[in-house]
Parts: sequence; C-alpha cells; structure tokens
Amino acid sequence: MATRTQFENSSEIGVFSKLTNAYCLTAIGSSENFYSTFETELVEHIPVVKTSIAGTRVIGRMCVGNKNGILLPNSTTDQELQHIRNSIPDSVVVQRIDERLSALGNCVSCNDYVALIHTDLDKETEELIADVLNVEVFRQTIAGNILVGSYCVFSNVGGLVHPHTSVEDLDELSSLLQVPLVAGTVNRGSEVIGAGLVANDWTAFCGFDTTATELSVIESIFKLRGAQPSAVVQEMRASLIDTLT
Amino acid sequence: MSCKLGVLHATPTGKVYEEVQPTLLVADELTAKMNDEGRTKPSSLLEVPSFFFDGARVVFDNLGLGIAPNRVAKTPQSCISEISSTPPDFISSSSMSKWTCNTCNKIEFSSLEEQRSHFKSDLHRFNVKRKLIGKDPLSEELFEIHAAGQIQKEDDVSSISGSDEEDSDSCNEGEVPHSKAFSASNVQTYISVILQSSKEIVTFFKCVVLKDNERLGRHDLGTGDTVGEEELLQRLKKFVCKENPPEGNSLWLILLLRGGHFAGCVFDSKNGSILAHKTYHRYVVRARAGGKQSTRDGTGRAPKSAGASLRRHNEASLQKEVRELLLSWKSYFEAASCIFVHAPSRNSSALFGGDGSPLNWNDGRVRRIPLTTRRPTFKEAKRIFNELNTITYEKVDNSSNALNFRENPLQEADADNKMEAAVQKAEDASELISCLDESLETSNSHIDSAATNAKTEIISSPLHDAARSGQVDLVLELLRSDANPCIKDSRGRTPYDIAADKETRNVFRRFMASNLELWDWHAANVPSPLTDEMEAAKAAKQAEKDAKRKAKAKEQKKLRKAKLKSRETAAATSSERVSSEDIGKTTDSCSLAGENAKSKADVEREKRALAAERRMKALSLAPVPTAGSNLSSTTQQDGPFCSCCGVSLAGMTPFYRLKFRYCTTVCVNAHRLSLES
Repeated sequence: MATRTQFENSSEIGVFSKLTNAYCLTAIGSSENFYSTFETELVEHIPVVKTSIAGTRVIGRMCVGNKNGILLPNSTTDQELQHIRNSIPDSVVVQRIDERLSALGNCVSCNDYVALIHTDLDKETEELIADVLNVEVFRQTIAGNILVGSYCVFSNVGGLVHPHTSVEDLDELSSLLQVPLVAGTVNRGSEVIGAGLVANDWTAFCGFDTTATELSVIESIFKLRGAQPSAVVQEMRASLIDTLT
Repeated sequence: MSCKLGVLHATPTGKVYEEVQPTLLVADELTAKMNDEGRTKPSSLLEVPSFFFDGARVVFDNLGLGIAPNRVAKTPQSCISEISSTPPDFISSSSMSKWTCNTCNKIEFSSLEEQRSHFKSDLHRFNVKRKLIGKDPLSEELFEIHAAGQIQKEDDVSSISGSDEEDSDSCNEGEVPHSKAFSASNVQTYISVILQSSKEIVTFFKCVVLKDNERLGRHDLGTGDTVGEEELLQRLKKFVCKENPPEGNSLWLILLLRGGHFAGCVFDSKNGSILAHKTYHRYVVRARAGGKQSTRDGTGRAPKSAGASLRRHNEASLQKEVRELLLSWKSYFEAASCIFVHAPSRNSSALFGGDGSPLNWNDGRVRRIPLTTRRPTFKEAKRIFNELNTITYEKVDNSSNALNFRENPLQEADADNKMEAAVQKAEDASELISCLDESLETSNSHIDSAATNAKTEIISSPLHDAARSGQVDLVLELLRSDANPCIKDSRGRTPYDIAADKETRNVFRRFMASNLELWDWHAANVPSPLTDEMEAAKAAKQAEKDAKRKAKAKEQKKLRKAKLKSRETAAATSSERVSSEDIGKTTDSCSLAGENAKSKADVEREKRALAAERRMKALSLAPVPTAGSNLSSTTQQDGPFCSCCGVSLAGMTPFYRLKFRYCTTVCVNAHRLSLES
C-alpha cells in the first residue's frame, strides 16, 4: 500500500526522506509524525534513520542510494557521515563524493540495477555511481528535463515519470531500465514526481495532497497491492524451485 | 568553444604549438578555394596569410560599435547542424523494433545490450546535450569528425563525456560567452571587416589589435582614443604578417590570477608556440565558505583561527611567487605586444600593485580578457589564446544592406563621422544641424534605394540619434528637412519609439498635426496629432484641475486647523476636570462640563436629602448622649452611604475598612486620618 503523509505541512515528502530497499532516511522534524509514519511501515524490515545532510533537512534531494550503497554530497559533515554509517546495514557502502552538483537526489534516479543521471555530472562521479551503487549508468533526460532525479521515481518493480514524457520516450526508457513505466503526477497534479513520492519494492509514501486516482496509479505501477517483503521472497522461492526441479 | 567546432572547416593541422609553414598560395587561388568550399578557410588569426586583410573594409553598425550581429548565428557549427539536418535514413515505422534511441535520430538496435551500450556511448551523451540546447542530433560520421577536431585542437574531449565541470557555465557550444559579450552592447568587443575578394564578413576580437581605451571610429578624430579604418587595417596587416616581423614585439602574455590560482603563459603570436608558462596554486579561499581570507579580513573582524592564518600566509606567498615570476619574465614583458590579464578585484593588486612590478595599467599593451574565463590553468591559458585568435565568417548577401550601406563609403563616412563627433560633444547644435543636413542627403538617398529592397534594415538614422538624445530643436529641424520618421532601426523601432522624453515625442505629434499627409504616421508609430488648440485645451484643463486641487487643499487645511483648535480646547477642559477630581472637591459644580452637571445635581440632591434625614434623626435621638462614636454609629446604621462624605453608595461597589463603607479611596484615607486624630 502507498501511504499518504506530510512533513510539517509540506506534501513534498520526497524532499525530506530517502527510501530504498535496505534503509530509509528521514529528516529531523519538530514533530515525530513524519518519522513515525515511516517507522510504522518499515521498522520490521529496514532501519529508519533520522539524519540531516550538510546541516539541511532536504536530505532526499541531497543524497542518492539503493540497497548496495549510498552517495552523499561533499558538503556532508563528518558527524553526519559517521551517523549514517553507524545506522544503516554494514553491507551498504557509504561514500561521500566530490561533485559540483551537490543535489544528488535531483541529478540521479536509480533502482538496484540501473541509474539515470544528469548529463553534466562528472565522469568520476559517474564511475563512482556505477561502483558504489553497483548499477548501470545512463545519461538521459526525462521529457526534456535534465533533472532526472526530480522528474522520475522508479523501483525494481515499476516507475512513475514526468507527465509530459512522450509515448516513444516512455517505451524507450522502460526498455532501457527494464521496468514498466507510466507517466503521471503526484500531489494533485504536481509533475515533480521525485519530490512527491518515495518508493521501494514493497511500499511507497506519497505527499498528503495526492488524489485517490494518483494513488491508484502509483499502487498499480509499483505493484503495491498486497506487496510485502516476504512476497518478494515467495516469488523468488517459486522461481528458484522452478529452476531447481 | 566555437573554435573547437570550427575545426571542421579548418585546415586539419591544428597548429597551436608548431610552426606554421608560410603559405605559398596566391591570393586569387586562396580566395577561389575559399569560395568553392569552406574547408580551407582559416579559423584562427594564426593561420591567415599575410595578404588576408588586403583591401578589407571595416563593418560599422550602430554608431560604430562594431558588433557583428550574426557572429553567433554563423559560427561554423551551425553549418554542422545544416549538414546533419539532411534527412537521415529512416527505417519505416512499421518495422520499429523495441530497442530504439529517440535522441539520436531514432536509431534502432537488435538487443538490449546494444541499446544499453549505445546509451553509454559518447555519441549519445553528446546528442543528449545537443538536444537540451535545441539542436539536431549528430549522426555517427559527423560526430567522429567533430570528436577528431576536438582532439586536434587539444581541447577538452572530456566535455563530451560530461566531465569537464568548468565547462558548464559557458554553454558547451560556445555560444554563451559570445552572446554575453553582445548583451553588453555598448562595449566594443568585436571588430568585423569585409574582405575584399570574398563577400564575407570576418569577425575577431577587438583587443587583438586595439588597446582597451581605444575605440574604432570611421576616421581618426585625433582625440587619441579613436582609431580610424586605415590605421586599424595597417595594424591588422602588421599583425598577420608572418615573415620578417616588423619589430621584435610579437609575444603575447596571458596572465590569469583568481582564487589562489595563477597561470601565466608566454605565446609567440606569430605561430602560437609557447615560450614559457608557469602555474601556481595556493590555498587562499576558505573551503565551503568561499571568499579570500584578505576579503574576510577587510571586513574588520579578522578571525584568528589556524586556517585563517594559513590562508593569510598562503596569499602573501602566492603574491611573492607571482611577483618573482613576473620579474624573471622581464625580457618577455619587454618583447610583448599584448599582455592579456584576468585578475578580478583584489587579485589585480598582486600583479600591478607595489613598486617594481613590471606591469602597469597605463601600459597600452595591457588588456583585459574579453571573454569568460574559467579556473586559471595552463589549459585555460591555451584556450584563451585560441579563443582570442579565433575568427568567424559571415556570408554577405549582395542584396543585403551591409554592402548597400557602403555604396558611397567615403562621402557617407565623412558625414557620419562628423555627426558622430558632433553628437559626442553635443555642444554646438547649429554645427550639428548643418552637418546633419549633409548626412541627410546621403542617408535619405540611401534609404530610398534601400526602401525598395524587401529585406531592408536601417541600422540607425540621424532622426533616431536626435530623438534618442532628446534634442528637440534638432528633431524639428530634421523633420522639416524631410527626414523620414517611418524608418525603423535595426531593432524595428521608429524614431518616435526611442524618443527620450515627452517633449521630444510632442515634437513629432506637433509636426504630424501640421503635415498630416506627408508621411504615413501610423507606420511611424506616432499615435495622434497635437494641434495648438489641443494643447491650449489641455493646458486650460490642467489649470482648472490645478485650481481645483488648490482650493481643495486650502479647504482641507482650514478644516484641519479647526479640528486642531477644538481638540486643544477639549484637552484643556478635560485636564481641568481631572485636577478638580483629584482634589476631591466634587462640590465645585461650575467647573464641571455639561454631562457632569446632571450627576452633580443628583449628588447635591442626595446630600440635601441626607442632611435632612440626619437632622430628623438628630431630632428623634437628641437625648441619647453617646460619646465619640456618634458619627460612626450613625453611618454604620444608615448602610448605603459613604462613611466620610455621606454620598449614597447605591449602585456602586463600596470600599470597606473596619466596619465603614466609603465611596472612594480618598474618602477612606480622609476618614482614617480624621479618626486617628
């Protein structure tokens, strides 16, 4: 199920949180509500960490990560780096990168296997993304927008992209990423998908303004109806047994 | 970076560091070759033959600002897009497979791997960038040529892969720096000349041949800061003359100092070889916070941290190193023809300040770098050198105005030049008018001939200049002498549109009223005629309005005064009342204001009633000899009255003390005192 939530009266929850299959980061707010929404949904499966990045609360836009690793901007302080390192699973690589475009969340969009990145990112950054996140990296735009991180969100299961994406681009992207994609909006028509939605393979959170229609699109494309982490294992088991026999 | 792309047309030698072999082509051969295909056109001043500028003429546009409007549009890369826009071989859409790339001309792939490897290729990345700036994608072959060109120029191939981070503020097609230069249109940055043989306008940086304080004029006015056409062409010829340099001064120095980075480079301007170079880097700018330490210290609060002193020390030692280097390069400085410097704000003091510096701003050879520079590095110095040497071409249509304008160059230039000088001084209007008359004849005849041309584009007319400078007499004079108010300047504005103030605009309207049939006033953007009657009516209306306003103001003033007065009297009476109450003499009825009079009367009546009652009581209780507590006992009994003054307490909350009740605290105190005594 996708959950609607807001951060201190802001529906742009993608700005204040980062959700992956292995961990979840949330901003430090004055109220516990935001954090506890995530905690209720996720605490049995993955750690939910309250942190700031570079002293700011816009952590979702500052960092990028998946189950394999997390990349933090150069402006992250040592304490924050240490805190994040201590809080998330040891298998996740934490790396601070020296990239001029410090809002990595806006510049990179990724799942556990592929990443779309901003065309102006450094070659070194591209290599780091490929190594740390263990993904294939493509420089691409979404409907003519250079900020791929802001205008698309995709998990290993599905993805939502900018509403102006043409059908050909949608086909091309979904064949490239190997996940089904749909063009849509969040937060009552907002095209900034990355700001309104965070998703992983079994759950998603979206802004409080998201309409029922938008929610149903999200749930269907991310296949969240009845999704559980265990469901993934079950699917895998079925296929494993299939191959074993 | 346009130069990078321009390589497509350049001779594929990329000779930045090697000697250029003297060209053996004869002029005709060369130009003929130039005409039939663009490939042999030199893209750098280093590559042009010494006869290149023979018989060239300078292109003047708006008031001789010397800006080539199409420099951007006609850089060679636009030719690339022209080539690439030839229809690519589309495979019919029916056979569209699943793996495509919409960015790169809808290429199709047979497998996901192929598609993915394409998406990682330089070609795709480059095309994504091109698409973002609204250009057509390059095909594979063109891209290869392009990439080869970049390698040749030793410029950043890495920009294709997007890793050239310094690059992004200047758009990667090299357009931004140029258009930036154009936007500051009152600064002369470029010079354009028309070559004699080929009908092309060649544009290059002004600073290559002119000093910073010099500007290009049609004729040398003798003021020292204007360089005439002949002089310019002479300098150009001298500059491109390869063999046997006239003087030894053929070195170019490029000095960049910014943010703790220094780069100095000595070039031989004849062949582009580098004679010496040196770069320094010191940590002087506080990481993350930005700003040099000296700037921070200059604000008054100098921090004492270890980092701060480190940066201070570094700044001083960088300055010392730079200074030492400059001194050791003294011989180069003496032999230099141009010294290009980029050292913004405080950095310049490191290069110029203090005694013993070989550099001096007043030295005519020292010039500012007229383009956006990036972090001072050796590579950047080389890039700047190449940029400064870049020349671009623009085709001239025979029908276009640029040549028409020069039909009678001498006469017209003479008249224009005189006018320019006169406008600049703006002292002697009559002289201006007389010389304008002259120029009118030429420009009007020119305009008439041009008016027949469909795509005519007048750059500016005397009427425009007069209207812009708001010279009312001059405008009228020009209009009377049949100057056309419908002419549009290069930006499509009529003289009326650019008139400086209302008075100037009114001149046009008045003239329109008297000569309604003379011109198409609608085309001249003059809205309506302005006759004397209209003006008189308007003035009368205005006068009436003024009178009305004055009267209103007067009335209001009066009203305000009256209000003030009444307020003052009110304040006086209220203050009196307060004082009377304070003393507690409530009986003084005459001082009380109207509304208090009634309550006063009530109090009086009550008092009288009380007194009567007392008298009655006294009569009835006369024989009872109670000592001392006479009053108190009575007051205690007759409940609703003040124990001190005897006022009725009906309707108010009384003050209690011991067993007494009072109307006010004044009474409480007074009664207490009386009891105590």
